[in-house]
Amino acid sequence: MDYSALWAAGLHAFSLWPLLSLCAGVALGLVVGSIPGLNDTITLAVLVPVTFAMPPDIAFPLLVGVYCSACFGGSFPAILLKIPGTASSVLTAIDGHAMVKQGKAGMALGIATYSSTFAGTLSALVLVFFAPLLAQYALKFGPAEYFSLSVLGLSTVVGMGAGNAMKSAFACLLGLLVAMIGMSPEAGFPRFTFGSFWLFEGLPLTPILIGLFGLSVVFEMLSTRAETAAGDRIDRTPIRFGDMLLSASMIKRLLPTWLSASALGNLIGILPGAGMLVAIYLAYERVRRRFGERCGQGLPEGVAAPEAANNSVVASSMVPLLSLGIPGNSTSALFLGALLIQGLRPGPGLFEASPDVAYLIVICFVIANLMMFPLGLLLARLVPNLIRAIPQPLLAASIACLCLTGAYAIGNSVFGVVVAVCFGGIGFVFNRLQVPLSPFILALVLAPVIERAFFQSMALSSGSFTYFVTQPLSAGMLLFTLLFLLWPLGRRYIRRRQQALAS
Amino acid sequence: MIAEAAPEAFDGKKFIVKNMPGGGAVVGQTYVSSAPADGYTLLAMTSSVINNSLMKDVSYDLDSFTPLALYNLDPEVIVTSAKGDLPDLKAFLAAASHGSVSIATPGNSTSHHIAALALAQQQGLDFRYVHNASAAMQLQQLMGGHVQAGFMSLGEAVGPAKDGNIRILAVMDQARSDLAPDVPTYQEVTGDDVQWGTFRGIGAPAGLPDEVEAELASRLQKVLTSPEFIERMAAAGYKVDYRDDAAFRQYLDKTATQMEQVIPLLESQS
Repeated sequence: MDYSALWAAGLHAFSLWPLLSLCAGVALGLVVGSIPGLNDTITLAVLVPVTFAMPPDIAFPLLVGVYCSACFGGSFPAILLKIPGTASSVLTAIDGHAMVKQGKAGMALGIATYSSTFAGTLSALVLVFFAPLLAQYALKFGPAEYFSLSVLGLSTVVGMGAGNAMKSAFACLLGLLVAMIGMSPEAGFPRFTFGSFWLFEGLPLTPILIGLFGLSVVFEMLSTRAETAAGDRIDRTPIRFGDMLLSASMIKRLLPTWLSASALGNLIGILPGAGMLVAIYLAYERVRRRFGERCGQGLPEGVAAPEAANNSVVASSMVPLLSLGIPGNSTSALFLGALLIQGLRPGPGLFEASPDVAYLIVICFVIANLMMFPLGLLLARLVPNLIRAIPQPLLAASIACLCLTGAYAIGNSVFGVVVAVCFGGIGFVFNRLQVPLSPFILALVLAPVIERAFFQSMALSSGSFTYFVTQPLSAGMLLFTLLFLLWPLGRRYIRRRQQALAS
Repeated sequence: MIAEAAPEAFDGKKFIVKNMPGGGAVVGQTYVSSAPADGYTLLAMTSSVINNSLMKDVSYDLDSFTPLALYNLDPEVIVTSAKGDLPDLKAFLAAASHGSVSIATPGNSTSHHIAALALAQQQGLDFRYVHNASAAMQLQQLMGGHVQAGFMSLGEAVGPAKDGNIRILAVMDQARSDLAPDVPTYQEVTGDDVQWGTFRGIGAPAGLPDEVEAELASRLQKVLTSPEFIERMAAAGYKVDYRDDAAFRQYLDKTATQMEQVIPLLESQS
């Protein structure tokens, strides 16, 4: 570790232009993150070509700012409207929106801001000091480990959806089924494509998300207006800064949740592909096991855990890119493009070949996360009051407009809009039947990972199933999966024993 | 970039670039194949012309185009993990002919998967394919030592090889590359002439009058070998390797023949 280069880059980051562009990036990220249908990937895809002409010390702070804060921005609509702005805030919506219904909107937004800043800064520091170490650990994950990790992630759905395991399992299976559409990853055989060219690559994830969460809410608004003009009015008292600042006792209460969620985010978030969502779901699962039924009904920890986890994943997903030159997701692949165009090649040599830019990037991660705090509070002060000032019909129309535009923009085709509208209908029906949506999303994302990892493992082991158990890391994760699955049964058994003893 | 350098050799006339995305380049290729053969419509040809015409249900084949000039070749390389048990090409070939070697690809039916299938067929090797969703995931598996070897483009392999994370065993080209001068060609090690790679070139619709073809080819040569163009390509990370129309046609025919041999393999494995 070259501390003098780190120090020099730190000083440089605090000079006028880098700081200004970082600030602009964070603000932009918050805004696009909070708009359903827009996300960090789209924003970076637009911004990266623009940055070609900029010097690196302006280009990278801007990109880092957007990348860091978009994920946090997604929590605003998740909490206020139950529409996750990004896939990473799907779980934040559950407890966050429940808190809004209890009139604790300010506190929910405050918790999201505190959790995001705390965990984001922590993982940015981890990125600064331990990136090479973590990168070596990420390389240990082979096909068997990916398989077991994804299975572990899927096992968290058992407890989701307020204790109704059947409905969760149903949503999960449906997600797996939808994920089957498209070419099979191993054999290239088209499944459920009905000869249509559009279905060959499978259904695109983002339009599905937009439909399930965005359009379904619009449909909901339309139907409630028809039935009861003013069914559940959320209270319209404006949010003040005071509501959002957390008391010392609350911070003390949430601290363990933050720490465990960011540990999960840092360790699992590094893994490309499956890491992000699995880390968030596991963090939420921990809270759910601790608080049981209260989770999902406006529990502060239910907001803190997913928000802390998703923001720590943001910085840790940069670890493989900066230390190994391997982009972990589509967003960091765009980042890779930006680095290459500036004549920098990510990998172990980056910190030696161009320490000024490399250290500037990691330091920008730290500063961007700190900046998120005041900017986030400011936005949280403005946006909810703005949303409440808009009459319901106009709000529904503008959400629908944003959703459909976003669905179109992703592939520049009407196909995305069709997918979004179809899944809008499915999401509406799910909500009416009280089937949770989060297991569906998790299954949809993990199904291809599981399938690919399974066939890769089979190719490597020449078809032997024991491969999953003979790899120590993989075996450990499968053991945890078993524990997760048996936990509810075991708890019921213990409780019955206790009752029997008591009577 | 060609369009930027073109006016000098084309009497100040400009190239108009029309991007036609869709269907794995099928849209643009169909458009050019059915355009009038007057020399005013050209196609930026890539390896996908061959793949598409052989494997997809399209209205054109390789004979629908007149190859004019080839300007970039990215040869295929065989790589292994730096920690792996296969130190050189000889060991790799020996291991694959006596037992089976696990091969990481960036995906089923990608050009790298096809290259591996072709080599296995020619040399009687036994590969177990581990298909990934992207080149990044392929690289991660190689670096982590989860698979024994992989096929990729030289351009992709040079960086990680310099960092010492992977080892390039051989390059499938007729000569060593300036990008990796220490890496032997496949032919040097084994004596068998195995060439494979992806290319970028310029073509026109078939049926071009001879004098138009000759004129276009000579002017394109001027553009593609000009120092400004070479410099611009180098800045973007590509090496210019110019070949004239006759050599390009020869290369295309050879690659197409190789492909035709492999396609039954690809179809039978799924």
